[in-house]
Amino acid sequence: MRLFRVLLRALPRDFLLEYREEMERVVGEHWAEVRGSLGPMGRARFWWRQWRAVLGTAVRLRREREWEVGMKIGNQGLIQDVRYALRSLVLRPGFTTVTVLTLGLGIGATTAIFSTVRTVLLRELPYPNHERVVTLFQTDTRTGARTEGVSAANIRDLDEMATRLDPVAVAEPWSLDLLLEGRAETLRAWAVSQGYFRILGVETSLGRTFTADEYVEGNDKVVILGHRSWTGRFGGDPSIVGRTVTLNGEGWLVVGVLPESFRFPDRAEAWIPRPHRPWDDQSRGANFMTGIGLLADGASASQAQAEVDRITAGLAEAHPRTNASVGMDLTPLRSHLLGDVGTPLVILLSTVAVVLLIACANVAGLMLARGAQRSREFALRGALGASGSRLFFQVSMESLLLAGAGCGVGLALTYGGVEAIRWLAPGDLPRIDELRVDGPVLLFAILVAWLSAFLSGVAPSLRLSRPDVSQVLAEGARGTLGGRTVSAVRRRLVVAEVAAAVVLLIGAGLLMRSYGGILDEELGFDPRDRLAVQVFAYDYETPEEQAQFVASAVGEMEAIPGVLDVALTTSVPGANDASVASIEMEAPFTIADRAAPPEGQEPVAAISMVSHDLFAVLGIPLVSGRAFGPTDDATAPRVVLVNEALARRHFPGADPVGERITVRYGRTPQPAEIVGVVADVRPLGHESEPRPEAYLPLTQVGSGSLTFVVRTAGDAAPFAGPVTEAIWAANPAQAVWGSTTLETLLGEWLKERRFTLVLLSAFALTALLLAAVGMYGLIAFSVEQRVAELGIRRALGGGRGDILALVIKEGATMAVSGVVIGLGVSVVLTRFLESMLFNVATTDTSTYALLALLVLAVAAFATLLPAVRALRIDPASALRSE
Amino acid sequence: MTHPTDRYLPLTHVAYHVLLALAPEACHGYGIIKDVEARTGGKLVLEAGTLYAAIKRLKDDGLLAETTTPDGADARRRYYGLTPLGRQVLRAESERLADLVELARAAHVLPARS
Repeated sequence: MRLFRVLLRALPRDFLLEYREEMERVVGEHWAEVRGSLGPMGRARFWWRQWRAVLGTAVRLRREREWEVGMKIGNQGLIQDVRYALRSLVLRPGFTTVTVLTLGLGIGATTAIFSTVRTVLLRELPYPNHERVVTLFQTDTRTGARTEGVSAANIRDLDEMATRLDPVAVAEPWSLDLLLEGRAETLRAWAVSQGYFRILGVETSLGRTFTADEYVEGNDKVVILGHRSWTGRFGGDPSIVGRTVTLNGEGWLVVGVLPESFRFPDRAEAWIPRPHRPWDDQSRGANFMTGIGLLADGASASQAQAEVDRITAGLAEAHPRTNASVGMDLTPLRSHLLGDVGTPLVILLSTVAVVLLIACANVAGLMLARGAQRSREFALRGALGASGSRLFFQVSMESLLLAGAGCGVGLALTYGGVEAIRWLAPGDLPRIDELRVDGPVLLFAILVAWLSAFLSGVAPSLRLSRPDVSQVLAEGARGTLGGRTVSAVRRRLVVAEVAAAVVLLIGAGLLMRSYGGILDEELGFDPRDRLAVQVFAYDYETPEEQAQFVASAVGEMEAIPGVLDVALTTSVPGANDASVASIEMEAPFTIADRAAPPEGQEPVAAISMVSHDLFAVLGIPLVSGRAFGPTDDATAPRVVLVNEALARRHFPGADPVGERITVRYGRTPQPAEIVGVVADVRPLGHESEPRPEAYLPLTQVGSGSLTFVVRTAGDAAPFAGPVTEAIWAANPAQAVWGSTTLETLLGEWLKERRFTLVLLSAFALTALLLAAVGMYGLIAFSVEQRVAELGIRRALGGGRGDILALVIKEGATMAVSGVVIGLGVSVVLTRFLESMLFNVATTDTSTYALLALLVLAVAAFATLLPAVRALRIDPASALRSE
Repeated sequence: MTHPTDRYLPLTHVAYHVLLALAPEACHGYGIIKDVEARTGGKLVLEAGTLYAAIKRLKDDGLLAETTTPDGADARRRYYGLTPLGRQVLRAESERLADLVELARAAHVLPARS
């Protein structure tokens, strides 16, 4: 009752003055009589109906009044226009809500994606010289394919010889174990050669960069901290500069701290100087480093590339063993950092643009329909002296207000959307952590809102502002000027919406097919319930000491309840450098009893050193021969396992077991006997192809780069903590580089795909929803327009089936034309998706057919609701209202 | 042929029932609600908001008027009765509806009168 009294205030004042008391009394009497006989639901229903009736009456009475006022105001000022527009929107809450939500959805989605694109693709890089910085990668001159990073010696030679690149520097991945409060933690560091900081043009935020002296061996125990390690590990203490910290068991002097924006290479936490080392010249093949160079003044990238080509050709002649087919490829820093994220982002941006257009089309349709209903009002006002521009201005004002409200809703959605994107985004989407809603993004949202107001409002305004008075008034009390023309325009809009939704759905469908296809690919090993924990165990005096640490760590891990097995490998399949570093070792090998190919052209295999039980723990099946056993120790004859890919390529049609190969790894290459063949694994996630691999027993060829592979009972993630503790129990000074479950590791490879897939699917479904709303709105409108016609048809004996067919035909025509156009456009547009598809043709028939059916089903639903309403038309009341 | 009552036709559903409720004698607001409810077998229960919107409209059009409260009734209640015009309009609307029903019978939408 109290709410009822409050709601009464919505009624016009003069009405209240006259009837308020009466209404309160009548409701009171009614309530007193029925309350006893009603259950809780009945009571709720009673009041709900009373409230609704009051509000409905209020809106109706005020609308009538507004119409009269509208006639009167004719030609007054801007404020009058705004007030009038505001009122007419408030008085049509249904229309206003649908419009604002639709526009908000479009504006929000567009702005969220725009802010991502801006952060990742458009914003200036934080390196002053970035226009002139190039990265260098090694290429295979026979195929032109990019193969690896670069080696220190090749870069040193390039630096000495090149004039168009000045200077050239190298960054080598390094790990520094920082001892803080008795425990060792790993800093991801890069050893950088002289010139590195000058190339990037970066100043430290505290302290200084390295001096020339510090690039000399013996003076190089100095370190520059990154912003994150400075704040994360030293609490942002500025006095750290000039202090000595313990890294890898030795004292290092902190000379500087870099600004937060400096993150090259990605995820770096510390930088140390890299003097040219004596053994660099013996390891020209150690091409795992990152090379960067600065274009000399006035030199273009292509000139520099030509010079680099000449120099690498010379190096190939001078060092045929390592450089036979080695070239170098210059890539501008920007393209290196952004990689190929451009394509998915541009696709997403186009997608949201389409969603926005659909939203605008919907709103335009609503505005047209509403305009048609108000055409009588406008015609009269025109007749009473309001000019065309005046009426145009007033309708535009409504569009602007709607777009403004839509912009507000859109911004709220943007904030949520940006959070969602940050959460979804692949870790290697560059600079994604800088994503935020800021000034330019707000400006963009406002521009988009203005644009949508224009698109959705101006066309209807133009139509409305030039009404033909005599025609409108002749059309009768319904006030539906040119209902037919308006419907034709709206029909075209809806067909376009359906077509656009089909295109987006097919794009999303193809990506989903690809994703499913990728997940169906056999990995060759079982990633479930397995944890990978990586350490770099080099700080041991003797191999025995290291072996003792490993044995004790394995013992500690196996004592953890729930740990089933522990195996070791130098490189776990799927390692991606983010959590677990990939230790890529490609080594040339020769096959006994075969003519050795010339130096530099021997076959190569990816080498890992493994414990004998690794294959069992990872679930990699043995194809022939035997696996390693405990007897394959340092004193036993050398043995090697190869995978099927190697066997296929180098021993086609034969079983390589028993053959001898010599892997040139380490200082004294020794021949080993192939004792078995294991199945292939995909080394770099689901999408990678197996490559020739050779496995050596850790007991015969030691390594300090070790990854413990722990098989657990149930989910492996909770074991990360206990396993790390187990390592520290074996040696507190042993740092853990990274730990992750194998499932997470493999998921990382797919994250970029998932990002695009989830967003594109969300947008496609939004598009479908908007198109369905548009279609529903139009058909409901046209049923309403034809109430009289349908009523007469019923009165004259038209059956329910005929009426239903009539309405459904209208929807079906639009849906089918939309779907047909959409399918045609998809065939053309999906080409742009091609690079992101996996084992799916861009014209995959079943995807097309399935999604076409989905759209038709949704369209059928959107049509059926108004059709059912058409069936319920009571001939008598339809005629009475005419 | 235009009759003076034609400009009020057709009546809305609610307006028709309100006029019908007032046809026998003047009545107060709650009485109208009860009357309509009884007449339609409970199918139509008017809410206060709906009722008074209709009353205002009918009053503005001169189809009903406030009458004096009958003796012995609650003095605070306002009573409404049909004006002569209101009675004519009610009759014209009823005839129009009856004609429609005949049309419907002729078209075999409704069964023929027995």
